[in-house]
Amino acid sequence: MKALIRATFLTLSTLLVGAIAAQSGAHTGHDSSHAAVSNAQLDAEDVAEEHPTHAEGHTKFNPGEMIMGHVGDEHGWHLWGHTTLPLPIIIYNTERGFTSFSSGHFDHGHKTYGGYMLHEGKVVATTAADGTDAHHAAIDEALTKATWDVSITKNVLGMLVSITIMLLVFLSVARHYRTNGLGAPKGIARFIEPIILFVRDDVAKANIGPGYARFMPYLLTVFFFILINNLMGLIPIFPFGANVSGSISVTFALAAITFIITLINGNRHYWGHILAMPGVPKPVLFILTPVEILGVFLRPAILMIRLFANITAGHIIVLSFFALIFIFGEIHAGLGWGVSIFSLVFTVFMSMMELLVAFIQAFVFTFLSAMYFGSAIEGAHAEHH
Amino acid sequence: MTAPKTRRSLIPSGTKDYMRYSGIGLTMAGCVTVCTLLGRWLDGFTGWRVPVCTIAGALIGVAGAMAYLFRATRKP
Repeated sequence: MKALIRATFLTLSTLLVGAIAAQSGAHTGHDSSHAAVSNAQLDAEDVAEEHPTHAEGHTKFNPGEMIMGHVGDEHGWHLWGHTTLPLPIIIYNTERGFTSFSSGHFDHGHKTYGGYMLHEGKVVATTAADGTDAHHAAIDEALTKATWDVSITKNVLGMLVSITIMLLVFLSVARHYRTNGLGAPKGIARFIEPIILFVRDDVAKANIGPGYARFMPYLLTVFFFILINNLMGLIPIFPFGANVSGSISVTFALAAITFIITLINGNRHYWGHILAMPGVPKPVLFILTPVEILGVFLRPAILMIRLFANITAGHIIVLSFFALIFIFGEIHAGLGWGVSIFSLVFTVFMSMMELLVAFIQAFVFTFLSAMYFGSAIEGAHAEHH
Repeated sequence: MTAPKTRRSLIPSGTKDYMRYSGIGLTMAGCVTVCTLLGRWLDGFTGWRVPVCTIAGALIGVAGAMAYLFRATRKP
């Protein structure tokens, strides 16, 4: 406890010293400069914002761009510094047909290639010749509309990596049970078995009831897929770090599968409760039935948004703490150093939170899916609560 | 597989209720939002000065949400 207080005090005092140093620096800077100078500075900043150059020299740090670049999907995997792993671009255009090439040809979005170029991270069609500066090439709207981008992006590669990990883990666990039978598990199976039992007993059996076995493959798959992708998203080194479960397309696909399974398995009791709730007077049904039908679509929509928002929000918070260092560092280097300690502490804290959230969100998605399946197959007699 | 029958659940006992009620709450919120937006969209056609459809949509949404709440929490 004493050590904690001392560490806190040390952090705060370092912050204070950094802040004071920066304050004095900023003051002397302010006194000597006048409105005209700061206007010129503002103009310079505007120019820098309009034309972000990656060349050497002082460019203004743009936290929004940095954060969104890390959270979003990309046609290339940024490794370090100016090194980016180019990923394959696969395009189907209804007029031009299939095209496939490396995203390295785009030169980080600065050049056109094969009649395409990157515009704000998206592949758009252009009629400019290969190697034209993409900032001056015109976008061909009609051809862009006919373009279907099915490239292997950062998120797709991240997903492939996670699928490989899942296959390796679960095939080895399956092999273990095949050779050793159902005795005490060893090795990686010892780690996986309690989680599988947890999903089976506490999630599937508790929510679905007797017919739970049919849904187990999906529930286990979705649980481990989300869990592994959540955890991988927390590791900032190359084969990991893609924000897969924080991508709304991925969560949409997962929620859509849950939605379809619920619809397919819905029995007469389930549909009866949605379309005409028993024991409700007719006039109320006019309001209630649309709401219930709305609820059928809202549930997977909420499922989708919940996972996406929780994971993305965690990443944005961590990246914001990092961005604080550079925002303050631009004001004064001392302030940047001071803030970096505070930033580091909070980043570690948030990473711990995210670790917790990674498990909780995988559990919540599986649990809610199981609840929906349970409500779809439950009989009239099994109604409780 | 090898777990004893008396294994205690790892999930706190209120979790299922919590999930259920949070789902009900979000459905209510979604109901009001969707009905209001529907009314707003309808108002785009009328061009009246008073947004009648938006108001009606919001009221219907609230009524529907309340009806849904009563139905969903009713113990049989």
